[in-house]
Amino acid sequence: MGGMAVANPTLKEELLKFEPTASLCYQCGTCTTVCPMSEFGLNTRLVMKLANLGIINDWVRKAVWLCTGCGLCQENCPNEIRIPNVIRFIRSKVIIEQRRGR
Amino acid sequence: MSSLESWVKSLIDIMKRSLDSNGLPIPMDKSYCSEWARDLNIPRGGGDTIIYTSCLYQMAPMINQLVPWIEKIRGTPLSGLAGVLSRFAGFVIKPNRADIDRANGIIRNIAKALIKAGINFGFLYDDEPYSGALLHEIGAEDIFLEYFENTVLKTFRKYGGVRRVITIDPHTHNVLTNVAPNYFKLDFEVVNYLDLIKGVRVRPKISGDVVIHDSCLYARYLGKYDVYRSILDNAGVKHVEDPLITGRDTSTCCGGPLESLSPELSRKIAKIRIENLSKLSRTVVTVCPICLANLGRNAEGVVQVLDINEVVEAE
Ligand code: SF4
Ligand code: SF4
Repeated sequence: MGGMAVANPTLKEELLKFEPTASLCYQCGTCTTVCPMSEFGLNTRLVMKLANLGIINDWVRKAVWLCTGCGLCQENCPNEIRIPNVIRFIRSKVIIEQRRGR
Repeated sequence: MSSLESWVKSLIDIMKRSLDSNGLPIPMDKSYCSEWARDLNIPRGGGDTIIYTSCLYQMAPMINQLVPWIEKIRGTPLSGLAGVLSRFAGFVIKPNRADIDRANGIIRNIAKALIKAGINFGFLYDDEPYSGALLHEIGAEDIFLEYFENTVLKTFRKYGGVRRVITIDPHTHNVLTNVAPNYFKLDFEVVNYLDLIKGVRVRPKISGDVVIHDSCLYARYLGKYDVYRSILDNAGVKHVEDPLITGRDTSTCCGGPLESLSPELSRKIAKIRIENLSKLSRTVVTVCPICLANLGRNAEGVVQVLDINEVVEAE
């Protein structure tokens, strides 16, 4: 997973403002099972876990670009979590980090 | 930064520059976007309803021309990047005549069906703004919002009386119905052409059965899964279904959204999709310009990929 990271409640709060359904995740893993990109390195369940801790680490920074936004995860998620929105939120944070020259 | 991550940065830069200089997210001459409307006598602006193409049917086949640049920029160390980007700044996409003619034919088929449905609509011609969908989809939300407000909304306001906007592709429709309303109060209604033409009498333009490749957005975000199926039914075109290949909760992506991020990966996804679709029919019907372009260029004789507007027409 690379990189030490600690939970960031502020980021989590921002995430929930952007996508309130995110906190409903109970880590069942259905999203990863149906995600066509999982064989290329996108572990959707793990993205959700880290997002809910407010953690953006090196693995997440790499993995989020693999998402096509196909929506299969959200269609199959038992809690109808809008997962692609969560991923877009993380992308937007990474893009802002880049602009600030992380 | 991983190479994909640093490429994203350059890509956003390229899209922004291109939008500023020629109004499209890729360096393509914008006059190609309104060719389809020649001699159809569609009023400029005009009335309260407009058709909104976002130029996506014309642009989608051209994104492919960026691939050599994507590879060049991705292979360049950060120190040399400015040089590559400055050479890129002079690069203009030269569309294939055949691709533009094909896009024009598809949009004209849509326009004619709308007319048959009794709808009066205008078009903004050269003033029609790109929707900004690519910026939103890649995750550059703040840049998207600024662009949408200052270009898209401003242009619509300039044409005062726009009350209804007809979209013809899923990406523009998604931005206008699922994204923009979270931030702005839109003073127009948004309708998709598929809903407007589903009651029109249509006939098939081809023979034999087909398999539908669903648009992820239409099928899973926008509730249109049954709409284009019913249009094919109206024309008597048999679409072969398999719950594991063409189901609402199973049909996979064409790979198109990854094209500008990772051409290799996008190609792989398209191949997998084509292999699955080809088990059901040799004719694949798409409802999105990006699916049409990405599956089409990876079909390699295994299947024929056609837009729904190349399969049915208004009687
Ligand atoms: S399917 Fe939904 S609830 Fe299950 S791990 Fe994924 S996001 Fe969480
Ligand atoms: S939207 Fe993204 S995370 Fe969800 S299934 Fe599709 S590729 Fe995977």
